[in-house]
Amino acid sequence: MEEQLQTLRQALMTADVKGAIAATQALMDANADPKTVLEEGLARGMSELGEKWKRGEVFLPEVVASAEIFKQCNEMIEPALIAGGQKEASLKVVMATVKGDLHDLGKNMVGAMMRTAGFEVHDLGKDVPADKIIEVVRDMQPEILGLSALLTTTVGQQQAVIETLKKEGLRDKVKVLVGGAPVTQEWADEIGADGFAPSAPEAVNIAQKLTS
Amino acid sequence: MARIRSSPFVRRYEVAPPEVIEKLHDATLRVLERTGVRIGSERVQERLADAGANVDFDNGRVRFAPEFVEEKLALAPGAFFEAARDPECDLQVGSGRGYLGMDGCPSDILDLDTGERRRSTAEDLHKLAIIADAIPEVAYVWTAVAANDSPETTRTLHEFYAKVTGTSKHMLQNALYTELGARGVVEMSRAVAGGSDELRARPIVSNYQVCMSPLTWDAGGLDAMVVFADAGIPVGMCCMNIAMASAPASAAGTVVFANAEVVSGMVVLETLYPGHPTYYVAYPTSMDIRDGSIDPGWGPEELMMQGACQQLARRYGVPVHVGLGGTGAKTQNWQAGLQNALAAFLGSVMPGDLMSDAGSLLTGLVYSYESLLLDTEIYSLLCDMWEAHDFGDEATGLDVIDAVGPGGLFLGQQHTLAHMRDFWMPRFFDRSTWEDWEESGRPEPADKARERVREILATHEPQPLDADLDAELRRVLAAYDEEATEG
Amino acid sequence: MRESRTRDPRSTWIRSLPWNFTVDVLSPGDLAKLHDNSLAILDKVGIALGWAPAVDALADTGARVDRDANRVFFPPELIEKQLALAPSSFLLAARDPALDLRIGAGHGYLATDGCVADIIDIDTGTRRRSTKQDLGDITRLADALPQIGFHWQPVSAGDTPNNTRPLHEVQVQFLNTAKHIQQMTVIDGENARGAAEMARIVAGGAEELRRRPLMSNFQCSISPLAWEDGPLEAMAVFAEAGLPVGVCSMPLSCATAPATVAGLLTIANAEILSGIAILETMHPGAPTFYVSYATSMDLNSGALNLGWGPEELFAEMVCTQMARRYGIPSTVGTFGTGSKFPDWQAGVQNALSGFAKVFAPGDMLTAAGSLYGDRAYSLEALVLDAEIFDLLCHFADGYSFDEDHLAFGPISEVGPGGHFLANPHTLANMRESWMSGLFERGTWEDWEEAGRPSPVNGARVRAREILGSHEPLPLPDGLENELAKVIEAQERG
Repeated sequence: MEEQLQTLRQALMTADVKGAIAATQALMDANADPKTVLEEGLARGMSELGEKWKRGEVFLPEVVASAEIFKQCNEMIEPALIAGGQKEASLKVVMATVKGDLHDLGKNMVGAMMRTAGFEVHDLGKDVPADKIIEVVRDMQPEILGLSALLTTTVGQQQAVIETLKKEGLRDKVKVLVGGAPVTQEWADEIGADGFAPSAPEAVNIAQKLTS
Repeated sequence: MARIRSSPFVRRYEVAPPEVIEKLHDATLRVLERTGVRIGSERVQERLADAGANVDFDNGRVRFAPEFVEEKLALAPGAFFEAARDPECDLQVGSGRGYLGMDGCPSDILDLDTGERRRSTAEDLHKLAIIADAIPEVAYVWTAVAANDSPETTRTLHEFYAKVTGTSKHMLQNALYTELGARGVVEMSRAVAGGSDELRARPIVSNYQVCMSPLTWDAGGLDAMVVFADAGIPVGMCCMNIAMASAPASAAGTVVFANAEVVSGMVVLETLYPGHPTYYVAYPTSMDIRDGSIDPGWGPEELMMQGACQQLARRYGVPVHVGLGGTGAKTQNWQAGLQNALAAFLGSVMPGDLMSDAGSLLTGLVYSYESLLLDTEIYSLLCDMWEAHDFGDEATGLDVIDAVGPGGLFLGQQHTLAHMRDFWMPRFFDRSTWEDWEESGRPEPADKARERVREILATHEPQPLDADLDAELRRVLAAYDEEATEG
Repeated sequence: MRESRTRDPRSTWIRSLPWNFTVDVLSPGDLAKLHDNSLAILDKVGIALGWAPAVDALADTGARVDRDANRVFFPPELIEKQLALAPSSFLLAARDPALDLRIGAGHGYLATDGCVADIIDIDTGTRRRSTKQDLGDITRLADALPQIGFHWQPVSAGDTPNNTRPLHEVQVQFLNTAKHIQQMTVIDGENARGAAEMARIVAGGAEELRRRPLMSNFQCSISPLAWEDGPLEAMAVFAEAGLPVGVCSMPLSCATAPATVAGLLTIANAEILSGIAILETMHPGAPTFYVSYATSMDLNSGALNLGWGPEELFAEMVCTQMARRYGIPSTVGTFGTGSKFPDWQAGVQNALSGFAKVFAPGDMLTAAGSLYGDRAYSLEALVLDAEIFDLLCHFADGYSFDEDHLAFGPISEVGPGGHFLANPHTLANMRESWMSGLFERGTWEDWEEAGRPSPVNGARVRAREILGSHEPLPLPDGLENELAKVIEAQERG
């Protein structure tokens, strides 16, 4: 089985979607323990890929491509995980581009990278009003809330969301991460965010630190 | 990976229209006919007189009739061969590709460890040769710095040795203006090549001689030229005039002047050695009228003059050498980046068969390890830019555009993965975030370049000389040193 | 209110980059492919577009629309037809008519940058959020530099309310310059109406503004292949007022465009063509311009590539070549270094990008003063970029090769071994050469002793000098109040 797990990891790391699906299927057919497939196959593959990314051996588009495949293979084993009572509650991340802002490239990249780290990502899209964000935070109770803004005229919304969380008594129930071109550490500190991510990969680092 | 990266040679731009180039040529002929040049060597004066030039033996003034000039210029070949110890690094000059060299020859260098300006040594030159040997952007290796710690009269031989033990690429023995030096270099080159005929067939060194502005060829340089030409070594002709000081104040006038100097050199060479490989080198600069300095380096006038000279070289059908840098800055700062990039850009739309100026600061008075690498970054960027770009359907990605659709993301697509590495990646430009940059103490590109220099010096092994050859070279060196002390 | 005006004599003229040389980077074959593929994409893939007035107008002109899917498909004939309606030149007027710019007449004009959130404080050297005051100062500095032809909003008036920020920016700029203002931070209908109203006030009426447009604008698509409602509404408002409105695309390779130069530029071209088609359909004959800011993605971080190189240069040159092919004016990025300081990298990137414009002539050249990929603004960088532009203009202006300049007489006089220093020809001609204001010129020893200054130091001194002395053309009495009223009304509304 170790060989099959290695095949799965390899396919995942090289963004070989057919190979990864075939390897996952093969493991399922062989009645492999789904938790092992998830941890030793998928998660470990993504983690090794992350290390390669840090060393500059692979690039972001490759990580994103692999993350998509991870998601697909994960969906394949999920029923077995749930049936076996092995599905662990993943850490939840809610992502949104704030109201008035239509740019979501950064948010999408962060979402993809969060998935590589095993977070369960719920993307609310762009131009999302503060009320809607609060509602989702209340209902879903995520560990992390990620807010993205590209314009100086919309970045203030990040502050508005944080203020509303406080008002609704939800502020200490979630860690808020902010990002986007006009966002700096100073801004994040000023508005009382829990973290500032200057790049998509950094966002994952910070999210992991905040939830450890 | 290829040991040498040459640049695509497509001439895209003319700084002056053909009529103007003719005017400049005609004005040059008039200067050479009426004013002429001073030829410092008696032997050369005699040979020129024998060939029909108008020589005044009292003051060494030689005047050339226009037909004489045209006839001799036509003898210069349009292309020639420069060999290297490693045949993979052979250069076909004038064949449609351009080759980048270095610069030379300053007496000072910025110390790699302290950053201080100090006298350069043979060891510095040796290290620079190793670096040049390792990086594909540098196609041939100059005497980039003077080996100040060697005797003056045999310095050029020591410099040869420092280089040949550090590189297997072709070597330019620039900064060589004495007959003794030329003889020594030829002897050492013959040893490396394996004999006189072998050197003639595969010249592993080349040279250029510089006209003393205004319009003067001194004895030492001419005699060195003779020695090299005799041995079959290509000799370029170079001028380095300064507008308003050693040349007229107008850019056009300086071009005429520069052209007259270079052409006179080529005419002399081709008269004595018909058909000998030569190339056109012009380094016109101008003086800053506020304080008489030439330190400012490149401005628009230099760019224009360089361009016009280049066009003249093309008109004569000889390979041309172009300067791509020459910043007046004292460190690798904004000005250095600006001036060298401007010159390099012009060089990319008006390419030279041979190119230089990589590595120097303060208009060629100080050399820098870091600058050598930084200048190659500019060169590699421009080479990539002018290479052909594919506009076919697959490259355009019509299918993936359709698949991704409006508002979609190309990030994880196979097409993206397949092509993304084709984009140029800088080695020394900083791409980090502001926060990381501040945290690291605001590093500069020169810092990255320095690291890379150290890495190359620690890991790169040039092709060694075999023991016998090394011994022979040392023997020749010692013999010349002794001769120089006695004589 | 000041009666007289004290002006820096240098600012009564504008330096432009003449279109004296052209090096086309795209062969005719590749240009045709780029154009044809753009049309094919617009026809087969279409544009995501939901703004009803535009959709309706396009449907009436022959586009195929799918309202449920918010998708519009443009047949090639429609694109060609609407392109032909765009004028090849127009006026960008200035409060001081001596500073008017005729766009599309073979000259390139330099503008500042927009709209950066952070400024490098000229006193402390640290990065901080920009303010309305900063925007006013930079505008005033640019007003004094002859190399700056017109203004963008280089920094954001960060200390003003979000919903009226563009209007605060218009206000502070009109107060600080007599040159043309290209208002590019407006991306919605309401602010467009407010900005146009403010321009009307300063011009002296709607017809005056139409005749002499003191303001222009451009709108950006969302790559890939999408237009949001706000920008289209803003576009319509400005066009209605007779103000030139450009069409901009900013795709990012590997992310919002394919990972190839051809794919990147085709997406940009397609989006710009679609925007022009929309504009000309709704306002036939509206003056517009082609704005392509195609950039590459940093493969490690996914952000904009700060270490950009050949592909961006090529893209810039293609931008102006396509615009020239279409017969409409262009706007192209020019001094947009990714460096965080005016260092070697900034010198290289800005020199290359600048020089590329000498050979790929464009009408409006932007980004003077920006650093860090448009994420930090610097007054020193503005002065330095103006210096580069000045050098390039001097080069592009060309040189004389007449008899006097060929200097045959002086050459024979001086002869071998002589010198030209005191020669009358030298004295008569020497001032024609370009002289740098900022390059280092002293000896090594002096330089070391002075603490190794860089041209940045000189630029800082120059910036402070100008800010300390330059007074822009004041607005006529009462206008400042009227402008404030427009802002107040929108804040209330």
